[in-house]
Amino acid sequence: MTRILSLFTNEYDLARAVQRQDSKAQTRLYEKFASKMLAVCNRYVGDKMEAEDVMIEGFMKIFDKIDQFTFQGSFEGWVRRIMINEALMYVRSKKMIAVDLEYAIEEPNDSAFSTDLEAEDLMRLIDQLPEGYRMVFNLYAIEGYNHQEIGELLGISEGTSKSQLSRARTLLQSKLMKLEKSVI
Amino acid sequence: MKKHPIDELFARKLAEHRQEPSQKAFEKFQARLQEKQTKRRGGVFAINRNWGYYAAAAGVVAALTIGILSQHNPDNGKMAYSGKPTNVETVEKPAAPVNQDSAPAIAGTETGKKVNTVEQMPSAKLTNDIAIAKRIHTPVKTSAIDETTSPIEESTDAIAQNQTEETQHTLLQAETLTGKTAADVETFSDENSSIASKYNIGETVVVVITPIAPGEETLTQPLVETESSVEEKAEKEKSFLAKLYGEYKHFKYGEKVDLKGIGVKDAMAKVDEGLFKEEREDVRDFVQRRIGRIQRRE
Repeated sequence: MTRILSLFTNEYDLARAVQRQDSKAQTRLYEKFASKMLAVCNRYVGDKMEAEDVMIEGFMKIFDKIDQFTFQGSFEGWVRRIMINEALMYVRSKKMIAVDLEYAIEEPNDSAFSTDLEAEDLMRLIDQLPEGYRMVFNLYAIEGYNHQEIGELLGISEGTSKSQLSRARTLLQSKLMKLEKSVI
Repeated sequence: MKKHPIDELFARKLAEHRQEPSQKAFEKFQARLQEKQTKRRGGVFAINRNWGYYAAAAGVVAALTIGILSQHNPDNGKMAYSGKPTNVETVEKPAAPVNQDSAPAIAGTETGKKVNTVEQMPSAKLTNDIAIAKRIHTPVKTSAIDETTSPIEESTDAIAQNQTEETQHTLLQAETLTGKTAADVETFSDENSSIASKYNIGETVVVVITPIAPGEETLTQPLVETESSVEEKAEKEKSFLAKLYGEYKHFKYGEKVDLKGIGVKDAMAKVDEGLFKEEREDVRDFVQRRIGRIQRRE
């Protein structure tokens, strides 16, 4: 608990310094969060170079909106949400998110899944997903948004969000199994 | 709710996943940051081309504020030394003709410094009595004059410390052409004297004290507002809520409470639920006790 509190205090100190538009603090913020936020952006954008541009824009937005941070909860969480919004805006502006209105006919297997695949391999699997599936899966499975929030963010209905998630899971499961087999 | 195994797997492996950005990305970031800071340094003037209008508006507001404030405070410098109400007018006059005889003497005793000399001249306005204050150089102080000019004496003493031992105190003697005695001057001055307060080293200040006839006192008295009347005025201007809160604070700290004084005749023990619990209980106790007392009295 004490460790969490001290972590927050350090984060808040950094946030306060950024609020003062201290350029050193801004660079420090970049150094602290860039690698994590690039991974987040890349999951949505699907291309590392583009993801870097999105991430930089995200940081600029953070510096603009830093006064809106209320010092309640995690500063990293706040930074992450801005990055996700920026990535979603980018994907939307570049191309329409493919929305498959069909419900998944086949539900993926619920049995526990264990794999020795590295994060990079999993990232590649996500990249191969159709745009719409990828967005919904990222938001639901990794960021922890619910279907209502996803619907509002992407401008789709809750039902569509659910079907996209189900399809994404099925696709990922089949790809994972193929990959596991090829590794063995 | 149990997480789906696929979700759980990806979340576990990717939630904290990191990818190192390239050096090029850092350079881009620095360039954007620089650009942003350059814009900010330009501030409002760079962003907003209409800044001239805003500056003019700010100037007008400042001028109005100064005007209003100066109207609210008409006495300004006069208030500085008016600790009590006075009906004496203070007039500053150039002292050249009066001090002619004494100036060289002082100049001779000092090391290039000028001395502050203050003279007090009482004169009755209505009777056209003219009192001419004449400074004489005498090592002995006249007690009567000494008392009347005590504030001035302090200043001359202070200056005297900077002078050589030869320096003599410059005292005042009032010569009344209409036959007023020194005693009269003393008693009159004790009651009514108002000393011009602003003088600097090197200046000669003559203070002419003019007594006002008894009939005029009532006209001149309201010129100076006492501190107590200012406080009363401020108290009157307080809003009802401010007064009520004040009374509540009195109650909280066990002081005397006067609800009737602020115009509250009756009160209901109803408190907003949104208040903090402690405060709510305090207010409830306060109101109930007051009602109890009012009912007992009636």
